[in-house]
Amino acid sequence: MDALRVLVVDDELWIRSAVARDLSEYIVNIPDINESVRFVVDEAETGEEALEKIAAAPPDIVLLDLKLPGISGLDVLERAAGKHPDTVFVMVTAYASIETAVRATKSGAYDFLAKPFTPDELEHVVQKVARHIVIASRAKSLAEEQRKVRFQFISVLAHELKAPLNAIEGYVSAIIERSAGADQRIYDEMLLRCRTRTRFMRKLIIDLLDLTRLESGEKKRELVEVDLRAVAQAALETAAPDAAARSIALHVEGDAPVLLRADRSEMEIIFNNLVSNAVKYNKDGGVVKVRIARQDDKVHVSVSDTGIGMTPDEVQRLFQPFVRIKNDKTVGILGSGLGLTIIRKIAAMYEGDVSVDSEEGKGSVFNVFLRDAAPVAAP
Amino acid sequence: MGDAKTILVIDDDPDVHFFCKSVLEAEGFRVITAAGGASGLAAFRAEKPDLIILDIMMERIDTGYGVAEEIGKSVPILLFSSMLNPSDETFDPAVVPFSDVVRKPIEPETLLNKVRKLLACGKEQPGRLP
Repeated sequence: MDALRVLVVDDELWIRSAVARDLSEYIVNIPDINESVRFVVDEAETGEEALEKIAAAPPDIVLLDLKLPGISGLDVLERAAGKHPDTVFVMVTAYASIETAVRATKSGAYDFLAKPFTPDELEHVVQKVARHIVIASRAKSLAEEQRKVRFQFISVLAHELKAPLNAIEGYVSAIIERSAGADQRIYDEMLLRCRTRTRFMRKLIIDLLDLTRLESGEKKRELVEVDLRAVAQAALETAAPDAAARSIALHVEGDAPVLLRADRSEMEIIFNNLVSNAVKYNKDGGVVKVRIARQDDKVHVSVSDTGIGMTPDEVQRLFQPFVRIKNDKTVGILGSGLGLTIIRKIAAMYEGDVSVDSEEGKGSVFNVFLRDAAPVAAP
Repeated sequence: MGDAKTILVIDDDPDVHFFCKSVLEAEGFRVITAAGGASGLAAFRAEKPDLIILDIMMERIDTGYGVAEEIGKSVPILLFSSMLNPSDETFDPAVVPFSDVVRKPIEPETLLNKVRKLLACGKEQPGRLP
């Protein structure tokens, strides 16, 4: 962080000089956010001069004497504080009555410094103010960063929602206007494709709601002993029709229950997403294998496929929201692009994580590690 | 069909492929499709199309602009876009190497009109050389 700019307003030259000398060598360390701050000091002899300097270039901190020859320190405060919300005012006074203190605080003074003050007392107040300023500015830039991420997310989301709408609208126009010639089969195919895009659009909206609920902590969790092997079996049954259509074999290894203290719906989301991906990105006639094993305090879930696999570059991008691997081999594979983001979020709630080993052309193995959820629901 | 004009559609949305094939083949054009920039360029070189339809929003290096630059000005390029403002109807070919643009969602009539205009053939002889 750059040096903080301090304006010392006092009609006594020796006080201004003493403050300037002291602060120009003073450094405030803020270890918890790894910052240290220096100070650059400017001076004003009167309230009028102070107002001019504040208006020209608002300082970070104003050390403002209450008793000044022309307009008072309170007048300066009242005129300047509202206009410069980022400037912190510290009132300096030999005889602060409670009434004055209340009025100054109401007008936006951050703190007081009683005259006469030692260098230590000055540094104590300045340290407090500097810390306040640095932390406030850090919070502001964090909030800005979040706004940016949010904006990006919404922009991509809007694009992902527009794409199926565009496809559907195009088909509907073609059907209404009979733009594809006399062959009825083409219009039937268009209708089937409209239905598919609608379904995936709904899936995107459901995934988006799941993700938002997980992030907000609004989702009610019911933590019980869940048999993950049974959840996996159910996920395979859900995927069975799509798998059968492409002669893909689905297996869960073993048959003894593997228990995890968990929320059942969260486990269903993980298994449904992994199995559905393993089918979607598989080759016709391929195999999907689910392995579940307890290792000490954690459970290792792995879902492997014999599909198209990914390049290391594709693997790197895979876990970002809305990233779907697009190449000639994935044309026609639809998805929300949120499945793995959701799985990673859920895994984190079980002190776990998700990773992938993949070989282009051979297939991928997704590994999820989960620990028993703490007895009290705390996402 | 030997004299049918060939149109190459480069877009990562398979429904755009099917839509364009259905609408353009009904009018006698020959339509080939590619899902990405690399396969699009390969198809361009192998098939020597008379017109290219290109999506600008494809991912990674496969951006429409990159493909358009590679192809140069040898073939008219009709751009598909879902991002442009309604005011962006016109393009300066000196700056952007596209011949014309269609915003998504694509209306079949609009697509046919622009394709015909770019191939400079009348409605009476759709998809044929004059």
